Amino acid sequence: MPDDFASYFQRATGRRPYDYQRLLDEASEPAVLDVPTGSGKTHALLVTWLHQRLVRRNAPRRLVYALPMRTLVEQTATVARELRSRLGLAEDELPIHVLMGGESPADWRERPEGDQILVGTIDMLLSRALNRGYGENRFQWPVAFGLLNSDCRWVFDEVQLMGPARGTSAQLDGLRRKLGVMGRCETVWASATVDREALVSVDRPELGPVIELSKADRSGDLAERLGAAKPVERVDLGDVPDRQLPQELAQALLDRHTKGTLSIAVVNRVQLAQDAFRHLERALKKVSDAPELVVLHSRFRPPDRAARIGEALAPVGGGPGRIVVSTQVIEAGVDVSARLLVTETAPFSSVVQRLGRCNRTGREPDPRVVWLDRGELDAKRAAPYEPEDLASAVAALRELEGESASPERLAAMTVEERRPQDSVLRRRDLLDLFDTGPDLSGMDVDVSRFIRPDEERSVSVFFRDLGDDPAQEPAPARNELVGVPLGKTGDRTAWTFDYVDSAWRRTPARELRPGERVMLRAADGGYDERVGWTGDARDSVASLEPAIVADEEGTGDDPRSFAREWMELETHLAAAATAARTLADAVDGAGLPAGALAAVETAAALHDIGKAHPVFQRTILASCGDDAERERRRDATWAKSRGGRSRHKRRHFRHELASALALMANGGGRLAPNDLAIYLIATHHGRVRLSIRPAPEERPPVDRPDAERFALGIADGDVLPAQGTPLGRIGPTTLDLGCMELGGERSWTEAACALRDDPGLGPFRLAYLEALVQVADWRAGG
Amino acid sequence: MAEELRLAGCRSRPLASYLKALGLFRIVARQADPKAKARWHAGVLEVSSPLDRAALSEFLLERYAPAPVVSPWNSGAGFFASKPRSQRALEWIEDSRTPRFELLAETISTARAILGEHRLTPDLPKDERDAQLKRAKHDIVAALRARCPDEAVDWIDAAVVVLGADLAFPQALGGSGGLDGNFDFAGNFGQAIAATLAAGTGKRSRELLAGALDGTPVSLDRLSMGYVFRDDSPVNSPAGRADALGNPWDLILAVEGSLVLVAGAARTHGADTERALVSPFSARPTAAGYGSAVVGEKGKAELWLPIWERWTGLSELETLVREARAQVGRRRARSGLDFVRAAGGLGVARGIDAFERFVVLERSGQSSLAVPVGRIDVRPRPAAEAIASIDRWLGQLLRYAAGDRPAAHRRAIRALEQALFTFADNPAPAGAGAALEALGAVARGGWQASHRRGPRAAGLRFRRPLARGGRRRKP
Repeated sequence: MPDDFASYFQRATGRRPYDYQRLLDEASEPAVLDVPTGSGKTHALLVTWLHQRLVRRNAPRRLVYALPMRTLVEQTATVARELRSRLGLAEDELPIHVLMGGESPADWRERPEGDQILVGTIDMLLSRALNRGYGENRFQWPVAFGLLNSDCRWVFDEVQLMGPARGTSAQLDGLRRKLGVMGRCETVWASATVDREALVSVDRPELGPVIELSKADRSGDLAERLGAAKPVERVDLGDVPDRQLPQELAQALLDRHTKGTLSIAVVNRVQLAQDAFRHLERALKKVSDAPELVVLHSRFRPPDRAARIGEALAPVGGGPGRIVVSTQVIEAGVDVSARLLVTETAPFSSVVQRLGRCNRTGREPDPRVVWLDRGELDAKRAAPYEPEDLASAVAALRELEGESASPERLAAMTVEERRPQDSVLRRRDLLDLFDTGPDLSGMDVDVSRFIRPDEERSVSVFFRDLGDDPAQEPAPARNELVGVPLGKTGDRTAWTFDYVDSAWRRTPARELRPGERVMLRAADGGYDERVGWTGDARDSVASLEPAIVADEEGTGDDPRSFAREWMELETHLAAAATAARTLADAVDGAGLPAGALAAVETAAALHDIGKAHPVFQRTILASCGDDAERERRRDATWAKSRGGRSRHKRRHFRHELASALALMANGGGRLAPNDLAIYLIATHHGRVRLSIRPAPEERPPVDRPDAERFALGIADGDVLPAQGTPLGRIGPTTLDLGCMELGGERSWTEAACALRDDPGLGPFRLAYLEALVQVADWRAGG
Repeated sequence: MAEELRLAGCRSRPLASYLKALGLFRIVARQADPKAKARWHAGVLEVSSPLDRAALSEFLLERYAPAPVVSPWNSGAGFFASKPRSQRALEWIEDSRTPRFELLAETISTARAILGEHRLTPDLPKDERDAQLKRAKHDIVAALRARCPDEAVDWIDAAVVVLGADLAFPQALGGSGGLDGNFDFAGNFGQAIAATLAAGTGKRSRELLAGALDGTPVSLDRLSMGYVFRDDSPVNSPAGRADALGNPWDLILAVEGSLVLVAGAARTHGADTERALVSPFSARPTAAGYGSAVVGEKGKAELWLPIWERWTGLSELETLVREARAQVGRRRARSGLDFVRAAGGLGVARGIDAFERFVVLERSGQSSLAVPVGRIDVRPRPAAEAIASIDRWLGQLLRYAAGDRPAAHRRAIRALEQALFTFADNPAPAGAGAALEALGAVARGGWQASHRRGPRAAGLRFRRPLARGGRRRKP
């Protein structure tokens, strides 16, 4: 008999499920989970998926758990790993991947047929679901796009902090239903403060089932937490000038902190947190049994952040205790219970979350909430919030003054909050995003308007001790990156990676784009590992050794072809065909049109025939150790070599375009794959998309200076030599680039648009198939 | 069996006619046959679809469902009492309850709801209404884009682009949000729809449609027409007054055509959020290559609209427009000069045979006119490539000229730009000489280092701009 939910839950977490957790497990495609802070949402969401996927076999393969803050990502990933080990699952049985800024996310995509949990920040996950993965190699955007829009259960936790991502996630959910996906792709939004109306949108007109606390939950184990005492004290700072705010905050903490306990202040801006921290530091300098001090916010390098969070959340074991000054990063979801919580005015939904960090267990002695009331604020002083939202929060908090703000009391209050008119993702936007585009000159769609509020747009900065040739610095690793708001890098010299030239280039601050990785000189300062990014040149920063050295990839690059063992082309094609068949058998293909998985297999069997092109063979032979080896290898046609990276004689050369052109020229013959297979072949490295265009500033190939038509290193009239494939031999083929022109009989763009617009395929399923071909290719290269 | 129709009334110029041709093709491909194709041949549109000429008329008169085109962000679009004719037209459409007006009616009612949320009622006094519209314009547009049917999003994107907290206005529709002076495209579109489609399929309706499609003579209605119809010819130039004459089908089809000219998100929301980006194939004017009629007038913008001669489907055409690739080296073409260079190098998509170039001029207050100034063929122009070597310097110079500068500076720089345009388009020896002369004039102009507001202060360096390019491009 399969595990029933209660005993499965008990096994995973060590306690019986609450009633609402059971209801969540039984619900069919629930859309909203609306339960108070501290009532076990994370467990509910993780364990129900585990149970449905692993026991009842009726949930999508991938659980994609998106959170607004890195702190929560780390915490949730830890919980997921604990559950996995309590359930006795091996790591490779259920991989858990973390996606945060700068994380190297390669391997999660390599198992589209396996069960998986992805935990990540909303910007990392949603940007991938929009085909513009932040910090991801642009040529691989479609792989993540394909895999994250099919066969997934998305969970958005702490919905109230999502900003525009809330509406975007709702629209994505609606568009997936309209445009069709492989298998199922569903979404659950969870929070203690869900604005339900915001989850209804033009393409998603129904809210869907909502799970809330049941009657049984209000009298059982949960009751103690729900009724936890949190008396609210108001401190009037209405007349205090802004510049004294850090000092007042520090004083409020010092006055009320009790030995042996944890005090947390949550403020609205990084600057205030940093300044108050410095005040506390000065005030406690000469005190012998001073409490530990920690400042927390989003502008840290990952190792420093992890260290600060570790310090902040470690159990307080007697002694002088600890004071943590934090921004919103600790506001929601973090499983920590403070005796004293100090907060600035914030929108009421945020206040509810912040109060959730005070006496979370209901067992703190003498718990206390201190509210710093600055009265009415104008737009500038209210930032990052809206003055109206703060005004209604002030009214609600004044009502609570002197009372206890228990979760139950808060849940009974309704406070109006403004719902900003965010950018809404429409079908035509999604179709635009589907094309990851030929334009490498910086004209990329910026999806951040669909993901974060304007003021949060940031770049990922890393520091290096730069020598003579900054252009060739290795790519940054995750541990080096710190998020800095756009425009805050000041007049420091900055470098960004140029994908056309494969080099770091000096870039003026105004040309930096959100999500971009930006190299700075360590000597220019601006960062302190205890306080984070300050922008102050006096704060000196030590550059870190990059943990993983991965080179950035340019248009003409093909690292996988030159990094491994020598492999003949036909062998590689056969391996890819086998890998594709294995994948096709493993995914059930529900919702795919007939023949789609067969097209994946055909594509895999033929995808690299363009490597027979003399330009490619010349390059690959160049990686031979010596002339003797070169002579020895000359008789075969190679797909992979062991040598290091080398450049093609024709810049921008793309073998997959040659593959596709050869098969198109072969039309009508025995080996005439359909348009879908040809599309999958041409797009399998993410360079050729909806149109075939030369790279920016591409000239006719040096050996074909008179070629009238050329693109990506292929010239009209090039001859691809005969080549054996798992599907039979293809004779010598003359490549015809007529398809790159507008209109006519065989226009590439027209064929590609037809696949995208085919109601049986559509952008999501098409990208999913692309991902399968890429994964098959990766596996065959190993 | 595909019919190939040559529609003599749908020519590549003036602008209204170009848009009309696109509009007709869009309607046929969207509503009658997704596989329909179109091409330009000798300046006239040809459409290939199962519809023969008679069937096309029947289709347009009886089945064509107008695009949901509404502009509630404008006071004259029929949502307020001040424009009774447009207001009545919208009401007629809402009340008609026929399937072909369903989308339009739904969009009108969503728009009314959004206006209501902003306390904008039809009878609001003018001052109050205008103030409130101005205040709420951004939110109204954003809400419309969030809530209207997909088909209406096409129009919103054609007329207005929401860029963060700002709005930008694509050029093809007058550059001010579907408004040309007092002429509101959407309001008049509604009127034209009500007038033609309410009139049924009688003789007059057929005559008007034939006039629009085939260019056959027809007596015109009293109808205001927007700037796209004003092209400086004696017949059209006085238009813009309420009693002007026109063919409602010309307006309907031109507005439908404007829905094709919508930039893709990569253009409108790229890193480079410069204003001109929001309109595909539009550029800052380069006062060169114009006929004598418009010399000395201030151009607002240029449109470079593609002409293709191979049969092409609508989705491919839309992809081309959304990409709107016109590049000089690695950057986007921004001026008329850039466009002629793009057309002469490798900067445009393969298969565009030529560009029809229009200059939008501002005249008589706020209303504009769009003057066709010639067809520029796409073909190799070695001279255009030669200019690449001074590209950076020229860019700095033009940015300098865009500021508040002494008239002499601006004049010299404009002359240089004109000379380079002429040279790039047609590298005759005389043109090369003129270009060199203009370069010389700029280089020795009255702005030495001592001049605080001179180019030197703006960071320009006059270090032999021709050092490399000069030798190479000897004519």
